[in-house]
Amino acid sequence: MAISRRQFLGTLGAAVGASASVSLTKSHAANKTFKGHPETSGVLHDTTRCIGCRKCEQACNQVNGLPAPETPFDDLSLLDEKRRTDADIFTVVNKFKSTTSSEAAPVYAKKQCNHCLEPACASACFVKAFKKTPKGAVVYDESLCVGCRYCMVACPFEIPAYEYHKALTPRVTKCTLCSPRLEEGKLPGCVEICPTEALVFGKRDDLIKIAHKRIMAHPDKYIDHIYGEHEMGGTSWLYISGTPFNQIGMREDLGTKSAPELTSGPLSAVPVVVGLWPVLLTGVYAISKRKEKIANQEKETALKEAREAAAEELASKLEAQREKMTQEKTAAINFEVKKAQDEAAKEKEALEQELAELKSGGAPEEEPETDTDDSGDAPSPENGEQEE
Amino acid sequence: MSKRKSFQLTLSAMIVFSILFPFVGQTSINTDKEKQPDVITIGLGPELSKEEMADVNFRHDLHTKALDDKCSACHNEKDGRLVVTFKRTDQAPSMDFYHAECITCHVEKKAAGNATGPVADQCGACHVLKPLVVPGQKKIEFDKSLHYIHVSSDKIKSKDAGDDQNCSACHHVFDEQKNSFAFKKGEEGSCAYCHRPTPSALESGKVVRDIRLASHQSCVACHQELITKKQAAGPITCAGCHDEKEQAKLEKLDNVPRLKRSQPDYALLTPWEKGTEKQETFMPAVAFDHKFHEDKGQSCKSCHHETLKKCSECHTPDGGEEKGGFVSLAKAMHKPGSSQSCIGCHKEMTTALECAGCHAQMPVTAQKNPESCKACHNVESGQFQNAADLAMVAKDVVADREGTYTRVPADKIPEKVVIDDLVNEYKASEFPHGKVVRAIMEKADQSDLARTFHKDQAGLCMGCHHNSPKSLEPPKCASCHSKTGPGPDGRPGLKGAFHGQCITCHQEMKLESVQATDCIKCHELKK
Repeated sequence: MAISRRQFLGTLGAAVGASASVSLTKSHAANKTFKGHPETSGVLHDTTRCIGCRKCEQACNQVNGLPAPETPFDDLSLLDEKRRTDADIFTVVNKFKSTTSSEAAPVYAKKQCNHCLEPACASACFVKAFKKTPKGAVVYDESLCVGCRYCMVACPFEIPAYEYHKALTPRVTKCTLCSPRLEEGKLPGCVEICPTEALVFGKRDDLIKIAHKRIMAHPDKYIDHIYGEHEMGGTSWLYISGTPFNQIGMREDLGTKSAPELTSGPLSAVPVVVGLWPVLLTGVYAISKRKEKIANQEKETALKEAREAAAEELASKLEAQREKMTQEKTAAINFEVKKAQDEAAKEKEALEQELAELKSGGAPEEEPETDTDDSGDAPSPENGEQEE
Repeated sequence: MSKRKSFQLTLSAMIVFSILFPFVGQTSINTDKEKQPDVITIGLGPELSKEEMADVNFRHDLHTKALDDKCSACHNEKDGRLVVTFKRTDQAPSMDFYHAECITCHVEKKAAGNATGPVADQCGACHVLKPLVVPGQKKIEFDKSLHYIHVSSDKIKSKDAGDDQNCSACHHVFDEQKNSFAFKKGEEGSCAYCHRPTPSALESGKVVRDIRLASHQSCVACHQELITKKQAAGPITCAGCHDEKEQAKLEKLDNVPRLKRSQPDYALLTPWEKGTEKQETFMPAVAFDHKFHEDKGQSCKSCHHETLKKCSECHTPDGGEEKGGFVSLAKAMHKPGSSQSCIGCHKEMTTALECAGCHAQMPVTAQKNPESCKACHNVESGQFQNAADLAMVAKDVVADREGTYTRVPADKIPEKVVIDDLVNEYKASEFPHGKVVRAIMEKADQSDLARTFHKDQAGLCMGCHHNSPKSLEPPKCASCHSKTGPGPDGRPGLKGAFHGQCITCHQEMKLESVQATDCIKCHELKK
C-alpha cells in the first residue's frame, strides 16, 4: 500500500481533530439539556377534575405530622382567599373563577413544591442541603442547612418556607413528594386520598402521555399545554387545565430554561474572574508602577540638565562680567594715569614756567617737588576705583 | 397657599402619577375602546398608510338626533324612497365629496350659532388615529319569527300582481337579458345568496350590491317610508337593529307557520350518483324529515348556506366539484364542528344540560360505534328499487321510526346498587340506581333527537356502563377499574372512576342538589 507522508499526516490530523470535536460537542450537549433522571416519578394534577375538597391538604398534614390548623380542613370557606405554602402547610388548594363564562363552575388548583428536574433551590444552596433524587423528589437535609434562605429567594414558585417561630432549630420546609412514603412503597399522601384522581402518581414519561391523551380526547375541555413539561426546564409535578394557567395562579413568564442553566453563564465566569483578575490587576499595577518610575527618571534627568545648563550660563555670564570689569578697570587706570600725567605735565609746564620766571627770578628746588607729587598722588585714584 | 408650596404639591402629584401610569395611554380609561352600534367607518380601509389620514368613525345616531330625525338633511330620494348612502344616489363617493358635504353643513350650523361638528382645518377632529369609539354592531339574525312578522304584515305591499303574500316586496331576481328585476314565485331565497359580503359583478358587468348596502337599502328605506306615513314600522336607527339590548326587545313569535316554497316534506338522501348501478355496495340511504328540520332550524340558512338547492347539487358524492368547495356529500353531512352539517349540528345539541351529563364525558377519540351509522342510514337500496316516489319511501321510514324505539323493561332496572368496593372511613354508598335511570330516561323521552338516536333505551345505560358491550347486565366497574389506582395507560382507578362518573355528570348537568364536596350525601361517615 502506497501512502505518502503528506497523506498520512493529513489523515492523522483530521482524525485527531474530529475525535476532539466530537467529544467536545457531546459533553457540551449533555451539560445543556438534562431531561431529568430516567424513570423519574411525578404527579399529574388535572385541575378539571379537582373539586376543591381539601382532602389533599388534610392528608399532607397528617402524613407529615404537622400541627393541626386553626380552621379544620372540612371548612371550605378558606378557599375564598388566596393562600400560599407556609412552614406548617406544604400544600394549598386555591379557588379561581372560570373565565369561560360567569356561570361556569369555579376552578381549583393545588399548589405545592413542583420538584423541578433541575431545582433552583438546590442550585442556590451552597451547602447542598437540597438534593434532587433520581426518583423525582427534591429533598432537604436539615443537618447541612445553614439557614441562609437563598432557596426561598431562588424558587420561582415561592414554595420553600422557614420556621421563623423556632429560635434555635429553624428549618426550611416544603413538600417532600412523600419521599419516605415512596421508599415504603406507598403513594404520596395527597395522591392516595384524592377522591377524583385529580392527582395521579406515576413515571413522569407516562404522565406526559396520559396528559396528552386526555387533551386529545377532550380538545374543547383542555388548554393544549402541559404545565411543567418544559417550564423551568421541566418539573416532576405536571398540570393540565381548562383555564389558562396564568388565571389559576401559575406563572407563565418562567420560560423553559432551568434555573442552573440560567445562572450557568454568569457563574461560569467566576473561575475566569478568580483566576485571571489577580494576574490582570498585578499586570496593570506593574505597568502603572513602571510608568511612574520612568517618569521620575525622566524628570530627574531633565532637572539635572536644566541645573547644569543654568550653572554654565551663570559661569559664562560671570566671566563676561569679570572681563568687562577688568577692561573697565584698565580703562579707568589708563584714564587716571593719563589724567595724572596730563596734570603732571601741566604742573611741570607751570613749574617750568615758574622756573623760567624764577630763572628769570630764580628758584632751584622746584624740580624734586614734582617727583614726589607724581608717586604720592598716583595710587589714591586707583584705590578709590577699587573700592567702588 | 404660597407659590412655592403649590409648586411642590404639583410636582409631587406629577411624580405620583408618573409612577402610577409610567406610559402615556396606559390608563384603563384609554385602553378600552367603546363599541357603539351606530359607528360607521368612512375611509380607505385597509389601504391606509402612514401618508393617509386616519379613517373617520362617524356617529350616525348622534347626527340623526342632532338633525331632529330629518333624514333628508343627508339622504337623497330615488323613486320616492330614501337612499341610504350619504347625499347621493348611485355615484361612487370621493374624498372631496365627503369633505365638501360634511364641512359645508358644519359651517352653516356654526354660522347659525348651533353646536356642530368640526369645520375646515380641524382634520384631526374627524380623522382620529386612535379612536375612542369604534364600530360595534351586533349582527341581526333575520330568523323565522322576524320573517313571519313581515310575511303577515298588512302594511307591506306586494309589487307583483300574482303574489298573494308579501314575498315580492323584498324577494327579487335579476333578469340579465331584460336588465330588470322580477319576482319569481317559488324561487325566493336568502338575500345573502346573491348579495355577498362584498360587491360582486355579474357576467354583464352589472354590480350586485353587497349585503350590507342591499339590506339597509331594503329594510331602512321601507321602515322610514312607513314612519313618514305615521305607521308602525321597524327600527330606522342603527341601534334599533344592531344593539344587543334593542334586539332583545324585538317581538319573537313562538309558533311560526311553515314557510312553503317548493321544498319537499321528506327526502331520501342517497350517497351515490344518479344512475349508479350496484347501489347495494354503498351505505344505505337516509330518510330525511325535511319538514321536521325546518321547524328546528332558525332559518333556511341554518343548513342551506349558499343556495336553496339540493345539497348534492354542489356537494357531489365524489366531491370533485369546485362549486361544492371540493367537499363531498359525505363530508358535508358528517363534518364535525360545522353547524350546517348533520353531525355538527346534532353534536352541538348534545351540549344541552340534559344531554351533557353523558355526552360531555365521551372522548372525541373514542372508537365510534358502527351501530350508530344505522340511526340515519336505515333505508336499504332494495327497499326503493322500484319505488316511483322516493320521498314517499322516506316518509314511510320516518313514520316507522317512532315505533322502533325499544324500551328497557322496568323490572330489569335495579332500584338500589350498594357500592362497597372501597369502604374505608366512609360506609358503603347506597346508590339510587332506579331513580337516576328513570330521570335520564325521562329527559331522553322529551327530546326528539334523543329518541331518534337512542333507539334502544339500553343505549342510555352506556353513559355510565361504557366501553363494554351493550347489555342489561353490564359487568361490575371493578372489572376494568383497579382498586389500587389508575393504570399507567391513564385508565382511572376504581375510586376515580366512581367519583369521576358521578361528580362530572352532576356538574355538567348543573345538579346543584348534590355538591361534589358533600361526601356524606352519598356515603355516611363511619363512627
